[in-house]
Amino acid sequence: MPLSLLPVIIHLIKHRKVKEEPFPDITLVEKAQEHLRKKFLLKEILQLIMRVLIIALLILAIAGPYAGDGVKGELLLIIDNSPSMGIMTERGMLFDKAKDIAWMVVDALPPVSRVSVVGLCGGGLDDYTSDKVVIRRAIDRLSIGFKRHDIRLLDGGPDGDSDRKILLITDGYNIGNLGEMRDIAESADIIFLSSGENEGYITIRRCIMGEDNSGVILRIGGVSNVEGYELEVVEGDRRNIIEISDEDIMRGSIMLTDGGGAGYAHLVGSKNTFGSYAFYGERSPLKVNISTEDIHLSNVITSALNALRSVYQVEVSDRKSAELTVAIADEGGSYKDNMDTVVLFSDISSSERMIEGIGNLVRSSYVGGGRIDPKFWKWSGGNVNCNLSDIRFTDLLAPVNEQGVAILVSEDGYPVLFRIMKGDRKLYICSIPLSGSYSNLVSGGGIVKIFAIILDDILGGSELEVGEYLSNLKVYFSPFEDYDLLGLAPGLYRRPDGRMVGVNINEDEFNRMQIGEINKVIEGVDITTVKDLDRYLEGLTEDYTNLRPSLLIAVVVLLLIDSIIYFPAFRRLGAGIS
Amino acid sequence: MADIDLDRDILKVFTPEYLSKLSGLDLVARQVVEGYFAGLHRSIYKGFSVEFAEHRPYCSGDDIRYIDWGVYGRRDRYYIKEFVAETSLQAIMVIDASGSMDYKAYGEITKMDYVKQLSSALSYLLIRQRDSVGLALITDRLVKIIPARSTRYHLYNLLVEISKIEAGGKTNLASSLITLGERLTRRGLVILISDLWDDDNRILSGIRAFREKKNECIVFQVLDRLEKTLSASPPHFVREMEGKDRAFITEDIVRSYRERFEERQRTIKNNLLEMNVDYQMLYTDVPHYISLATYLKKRKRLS
Repeated sequence: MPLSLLPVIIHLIKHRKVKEEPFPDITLVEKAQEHLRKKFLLKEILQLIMRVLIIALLILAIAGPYAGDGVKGELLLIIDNSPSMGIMTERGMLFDKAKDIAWMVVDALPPVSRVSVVGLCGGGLDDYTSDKVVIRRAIDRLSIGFKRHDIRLLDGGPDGDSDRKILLITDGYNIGNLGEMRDIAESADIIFLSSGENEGYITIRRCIMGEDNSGVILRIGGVSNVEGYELEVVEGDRRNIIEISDEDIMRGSIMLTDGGGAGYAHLVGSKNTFGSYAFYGERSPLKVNISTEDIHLSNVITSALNALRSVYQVEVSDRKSAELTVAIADEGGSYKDNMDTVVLFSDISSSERMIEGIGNLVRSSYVGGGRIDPKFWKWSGGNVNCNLSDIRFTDLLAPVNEQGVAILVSEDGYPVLFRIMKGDRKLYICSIPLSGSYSNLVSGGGIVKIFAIILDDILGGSELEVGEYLSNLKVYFSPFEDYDLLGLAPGLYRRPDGRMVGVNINEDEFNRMQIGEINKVIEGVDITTVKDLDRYLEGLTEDYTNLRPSLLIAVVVLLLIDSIIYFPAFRRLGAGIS
Repeated sequence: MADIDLDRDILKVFTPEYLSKLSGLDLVARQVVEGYFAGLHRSIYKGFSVEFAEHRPYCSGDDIRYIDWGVYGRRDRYYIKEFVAETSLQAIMVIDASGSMDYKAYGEITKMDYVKQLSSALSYLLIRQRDSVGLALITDRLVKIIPARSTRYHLYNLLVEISKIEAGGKTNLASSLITLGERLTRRGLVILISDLWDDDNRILSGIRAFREKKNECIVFQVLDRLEKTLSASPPHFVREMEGKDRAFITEDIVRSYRERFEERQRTIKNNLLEMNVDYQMLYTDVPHYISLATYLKKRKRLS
């Protein structure tokens, strides 16, 4: 503090009173003053103008002006944040790639463009804005979601502005709502993302079979390699072979997309038959036949294990005769037995107590002494939706606590997988947030892959032991009570008790929409895909010139001129140079 | 001389050494003036002296003694011979006694002291060559006027009056010179000694009034050298000596002032030359007899 007064003291000490001297006549002095005053005033005015100009240009530059046309209207940016976008590729998570593309699009847009960002499965902005900071923040905040977003509300926008563009970034997997599909397909540009890992997967997302097989929608992973694939569609006793050709690709009745990471095939036929196919790379195709009667988690998992056994050449005749023991545990079921390993599947949404149980298990036995294996963490891509510290104890899984346990909870076919170790104990956690589509679970890319990883981990990579292990594997299911098939395509499904269930359709649609009629909704839809992103971005920013660099250069030049004029040292330097 | 109460300073000035410095300097009017006595100056009154002036046709009533019979013989017409008469000069020294004359900075004496010395010397020179000389003191008005005489006793009177001059008051050369002009009845030599710190137009209009009455004019502008440079160590304030105004000067102002000063000096000089007025600028740091000698030599050469 005292030191801060030093400059003041020095100033006072050095301060001298300006002397005054007599002079015969100051007329000329006053004239000189007047002249200089005018000159100074002119200089001041020029300085003021220049500095105002500098500030104005600086503000303008910060505002990011542009010249030219480009997209001036509104853009509805729909980002698919369905669970399938959570798949990890060699280049990172597919969803992150979608965000990157969204960023590129937003960055390329002129500042006046108003943008709204919407997550296909929840999240985003409620309105349009030209504030890129807000837009970017909205994109950043998007995460894998499990709610349905009613895209139709955003179709055409609140004002029905014809200038509005709609851009959908998706893996083409989770557009399960026919209404959404129609709306988006009619008006959106679609950027399809391929995970790369799906190369070789052929997926029938939904197959609406008419009498002549028309209206088939195929989603095929690795679209560049689909030519020549034969797709086997089994419908009850019927067996159809569809050879995919360029012609099929071009046909309006067949829509090709990458199929996301699931690598599954669903077939819903007129006889309410549910079939699923997965082709797994160069290996023998996994084939899982599940009737609609089997659309139950336990059956799905059983089917998945059967498929896995087929990979490892484990003889499986049928579900009932398989050596695999499936126990469907009721409330307070038999999982108190001592077992080396417990593999637990659940859609968490069906049992809150499951979450609590896992939480208790983790907290009481592993947290603090355990560690998360980086390998698994990496595999899951950090996509953790379950905050373990928040979940509470119940006695549901307490007995398991005493054992060396593996717990596997799948998530929509794209699980987040942890392995936590304490001593010899291994705890596998794979979360299934709310979506829990069983159809995803059954797919080779989901459950099968999880199994493969866990078995590989447990058995140390010895394939010879896998069969034996699988033969003795006991699978327990937690109790679940309803059929909240959130991830399924809208339509009618038969429950195990034979009752039909409408999924993702309201009552009116349920009454109106019969399976055989759904194809009429899809027919005639023509979609626009974006294959060349750079060209697409150029199209968005046509004739657009960013003026910021020019303005910043102008500011620098003006500052330099200002310095040269008003600082003698600069002026001298300038004179010396000249 | 003993019965005259001369100011001690004046007496100091006119030391033998000083007078020897002034010897040989004659103030010769370049222009023809009228005078009572035949002196060094040619009179505009053409008389019948030894120096021929011109011929003019004979008019009835002319004295036939002055008919040039030689011309008559050649042209068969009567012409009268006219001669230039040498006459005494009547000079009036007009001294600016305004407050600004009390300034001293670069020189060792004030401008007024310098003017006193200069005017004393001029008085001496003029009376020594039998010219009559008077004195007028002006500020913003005509303060005092002493008619021209050519006696030695008048010289002493002038020196006393000169020694009593004190600078003060404002300057208005135009009005005071015009007033003075109205008081002067006879043409002659007007010697204005001033720092010319007044409005240019007023200065010139005042002098022009003399010139219009066919007076010969000499203007001595007496300045301290710092009046040319304004200041050697800005910034500071300068306060006007004839008023209360003051101004803050900086290096920029000094630079601008010097340019304006030079320009003004050129303007004054050119205007005076156009009016056929002798102009000489004198700085107080140069002894007056040196400046005076330089000027008189130049004047003699030109005449």
